[in-house]
Amino acid sequence: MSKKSIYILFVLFFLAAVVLIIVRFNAKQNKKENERYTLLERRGISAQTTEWIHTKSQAYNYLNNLEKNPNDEKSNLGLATLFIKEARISGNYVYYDMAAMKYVNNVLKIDSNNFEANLYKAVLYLSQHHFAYGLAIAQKAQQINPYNAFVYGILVDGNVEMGYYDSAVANSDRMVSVRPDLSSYSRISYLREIYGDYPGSIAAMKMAVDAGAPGEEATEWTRVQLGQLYERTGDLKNAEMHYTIALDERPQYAYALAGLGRIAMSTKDYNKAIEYYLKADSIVSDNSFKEELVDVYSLKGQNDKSQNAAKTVIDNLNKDASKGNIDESIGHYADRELAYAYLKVNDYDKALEHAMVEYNRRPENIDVNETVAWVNYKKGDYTNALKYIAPALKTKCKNPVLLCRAGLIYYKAGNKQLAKTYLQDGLINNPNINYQLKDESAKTLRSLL
Amino acid sequence: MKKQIYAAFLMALMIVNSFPLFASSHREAPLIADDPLADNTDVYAFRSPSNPDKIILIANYIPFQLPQGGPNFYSFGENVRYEIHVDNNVATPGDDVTYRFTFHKTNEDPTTFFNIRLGKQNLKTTYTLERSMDGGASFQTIITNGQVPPPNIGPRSISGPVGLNTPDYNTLINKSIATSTTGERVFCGTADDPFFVDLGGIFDLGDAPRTTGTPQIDGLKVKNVSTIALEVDISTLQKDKMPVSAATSILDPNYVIGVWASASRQKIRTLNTGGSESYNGEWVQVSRLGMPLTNEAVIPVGKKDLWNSSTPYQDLANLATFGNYFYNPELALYMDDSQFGGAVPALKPLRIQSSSLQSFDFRNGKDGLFPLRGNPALIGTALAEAPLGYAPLLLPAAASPRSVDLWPIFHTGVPNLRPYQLATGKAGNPLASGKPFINNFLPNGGDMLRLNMAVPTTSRTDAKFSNEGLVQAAVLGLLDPAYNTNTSLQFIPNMDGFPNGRRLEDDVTRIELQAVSGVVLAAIGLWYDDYVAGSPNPVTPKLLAVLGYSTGVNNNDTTFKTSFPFVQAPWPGNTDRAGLETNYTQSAILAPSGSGLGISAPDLFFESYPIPARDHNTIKYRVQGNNTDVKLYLFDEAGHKVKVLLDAVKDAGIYNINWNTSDLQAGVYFIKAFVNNRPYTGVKLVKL
Repeated sequence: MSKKSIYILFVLFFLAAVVLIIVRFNAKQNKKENERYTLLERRGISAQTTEWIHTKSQAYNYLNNLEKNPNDEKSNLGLATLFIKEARISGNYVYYDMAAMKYVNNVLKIDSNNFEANLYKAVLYLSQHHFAYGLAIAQKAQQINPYNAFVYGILVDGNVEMGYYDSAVANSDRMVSVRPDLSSYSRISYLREIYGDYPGSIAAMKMAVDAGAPGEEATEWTRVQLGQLYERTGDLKNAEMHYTIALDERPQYAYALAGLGRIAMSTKDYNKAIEYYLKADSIVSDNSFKEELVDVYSLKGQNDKSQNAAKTVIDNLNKDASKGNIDESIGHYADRELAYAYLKVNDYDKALEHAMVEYNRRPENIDVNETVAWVNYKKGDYTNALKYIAPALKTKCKNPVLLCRAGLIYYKAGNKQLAKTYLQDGLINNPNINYQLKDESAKTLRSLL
Repeated sequence: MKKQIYAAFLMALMIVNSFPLFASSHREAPLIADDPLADNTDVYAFRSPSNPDKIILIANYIPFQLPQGGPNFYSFGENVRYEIHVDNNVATPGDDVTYRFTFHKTNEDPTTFFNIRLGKQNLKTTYTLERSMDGGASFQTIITNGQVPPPNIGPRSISGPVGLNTPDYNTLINKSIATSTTGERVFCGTADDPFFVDLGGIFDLGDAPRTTGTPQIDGLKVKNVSTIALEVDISTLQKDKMPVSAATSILDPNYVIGVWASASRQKIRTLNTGGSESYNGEWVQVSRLGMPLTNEAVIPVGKKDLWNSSTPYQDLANLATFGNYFYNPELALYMDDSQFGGAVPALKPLRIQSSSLQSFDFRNGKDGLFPLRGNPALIGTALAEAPLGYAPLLLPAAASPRSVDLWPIFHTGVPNLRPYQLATGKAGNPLASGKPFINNFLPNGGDMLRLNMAVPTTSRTDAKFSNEGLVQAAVLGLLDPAYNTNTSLQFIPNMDGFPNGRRLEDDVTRIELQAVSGVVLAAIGLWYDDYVAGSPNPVTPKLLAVLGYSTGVNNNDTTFKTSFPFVQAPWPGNTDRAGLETNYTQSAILAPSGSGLGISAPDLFFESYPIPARDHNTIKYRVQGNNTDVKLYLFDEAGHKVKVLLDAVKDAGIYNINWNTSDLQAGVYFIKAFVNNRPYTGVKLVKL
């Protein structure tokens, strides 16, 4: 065979390969675009409500409309909002966020300046922890419509996650000027907490609760947040009262059940705590409940169960994250959560790897800095722990977990004065925090007194 | 609530989803949450049928309240300003009269879970009423410590000696009516929601009346709402403080008022170097409502925050922002066979003039009467150029066909000028003088309910009274020999109805749909397409079809009171239907259903404890008479009977039932008693 023939064959082979790649890519794209998402069956009490019947009927109508006219903007948007709502109710963010993104993108293909579609896209990116993207899209939406509380809410959330706290405060002030309500009050509460003002944070969260309709998910969510603020300030009676009210108003509310689980932990009633966490976990898929189970099983000496729960958390988080490799338009960034999950199984290298991935995404965020610092502390690298804990403290946040971790890091790094200050501040109100951390902090503080 | 109702009418137009939307899975706060405490549902303004010197202003809030809403029954929110606003003069900026209500709650007996026990009330609500007569520059307190009746939990709580020991709920309503230092009478409290609409049909792609064979159901049947009702002297609201006796005619233009209502909350600063502030920021309006329809279905979702925070006086300036729905209403597309007329079978009787008098086309995008602008024939009419007429408002541009009817109905009111007089006496020329029937012209451009206070009231017992309001007045003025023989101004029954104000009875959904289909144009002589100009009889099949249209749910599910506050007492918490949609008809909602039965207070404790229940529960009850048939059933939240707790004949005495609740699914239940097969009362049980 002549060189020329070989060359021609080679070119033909190359062209065939290119065509094959394009065809496969298009087929994949077509498959993705033609994917038809429907509602998944609910479980638990939420499957027995008339609201569920109505939701199913709405989804049916939207899908029917879209079969007739795939460019029906209103049905595309309607379906997207319905899936966003369903994600919250079911806890299945992986599926529903992807489903919602498809229909939001359908609208944006028709009208890239559609305000609502941009809003929802930003919401979905934040939900998947793609904070920088979410923030950028929210900024675009804000340009389209500067008089909308919702868009400022996304800007608050996005800026907080990216660690741009000044911008978050500015957007929060703007949001509450547009519409003072549960949504804006609760964000103010959160920012006040970040800036170390617990009384102010509690006052704002109370306003949020008062502004909500009793029993609605949003209201009970804020009530549970109020309970958590009380936990962090050591007022367990008030915390328990608010969890109980939340359960009365919204029976089986998983986050309130978990709150009572934490209250049970404070009295070392581990069996009760397990019962609450398992119940919560059976209602809503949220890894935070399993993480609590890891600790409580460990405290009971049930190490197998603890390790199994920890592995489940890691598997779940990795599974969520891997969706991003399959579909680049969405996929949950869960590296900060994975860092903590790997800490629970003492895999410090993996924990650091994930912590740094998250740090490189948003180095200004105080929580991310705290994570990197804490992973380094657990690894025994106190120099690096010290390097990252300082920026974690920049807003003067008084979260007792942060303060205790900071105290322990400064102690190991040899700064006993700062260690004592942070540990004292962290433990001053006897907050309800992780038992091991509290114990280690208290022992260290005693050694410093 | 009405957001959803009217939005549903627009079907594909808008899909409004109001739900708790969260930005992120774990920590971020909700972005949109339902905000019922600050949600205006409806506004009413009408001349009092029981006292012609008074005007009744009603603002309703907090939609869809189920009668058995315990343990925390809805009530007006603290930290919310509820306001009723009145404009009586376009020459003065903003409100001329403002009533501002703020509510306060106290617990009289913190030791009990119950809202009411032994004459004491928890979450007892009182209010302060302030009034401004100078555009909101200053306020005068005119009621302090006004009383809001407790929720109508049930006869034991209201009438029983273990409760408030009052004869019935109406007694509480009457006791709570306050008179202000400036003479207004005021009621604030829960009431039956006077609005009525077939939500199920409308949600089914605008199927009202239903075409699928399923029964029509009032979606607000057996639902309550929180009401603020004011009875105000006409002289207080009239711009020169004149009594109604001084009116020059029943359409005296000096007696027109515009009414709207709002709710506001305070903003707070996120961070404050001098310590956190809570309740001392500026107030921001978060909800407003005037005409039924505008806020709900017209304003785009993304613009709602701007709309709700602005006042009607800014509407004209914001027209470009909000878009002018009324010039080309989207609903009209479903009443136009050249558009989507076939898409909604239920609206088939409603069709818009495309060739009225073989000349004028009022379908969306067409020119309507605009080609006449500047024509000398318009001189002397409302459509003449300024300053003689209002052409810039009413004939602003081509392709805005409804600027002559829907726009003024919703944003300026309608003047008693040609061509806005009935076709009676016009001899086929719509621009000629006809029979006057409306004058509620207050051209400030804002979304408000406009009422001419000089128009006499139609007795609710008059054979000619109709909840078709002004549409029926027009029909009588055109067809009834008592009114259609001359063009002189005379009172035609229902001239005091919507859209000249709004009475509780008025079927506004039907009237508005008829208005969108051009019925007002027809009334002034711009007849439907099947009328040939010059023919003797304009009452054509198309007109009759529009007039015969009905949504299928045409009346409220209960009566109205014949005196202030006119709204009906709230449905009691022990009502059998508990707010569920059914065909059940409750005969006498005001009679406590426990009266005269075999079980009675004071020693009676039909009580269930502990609440919430985990694995067991005890019911304690007392039977007064021997040989009494007692049944206790457990119902779930959806009204299904889950368990028979007791079915026995008992003699007088006190009994306990201890029962195991561990096999119950967690949730909310109701234990309901039947004594001698008559429903008695119920208590709520929460199972953890």
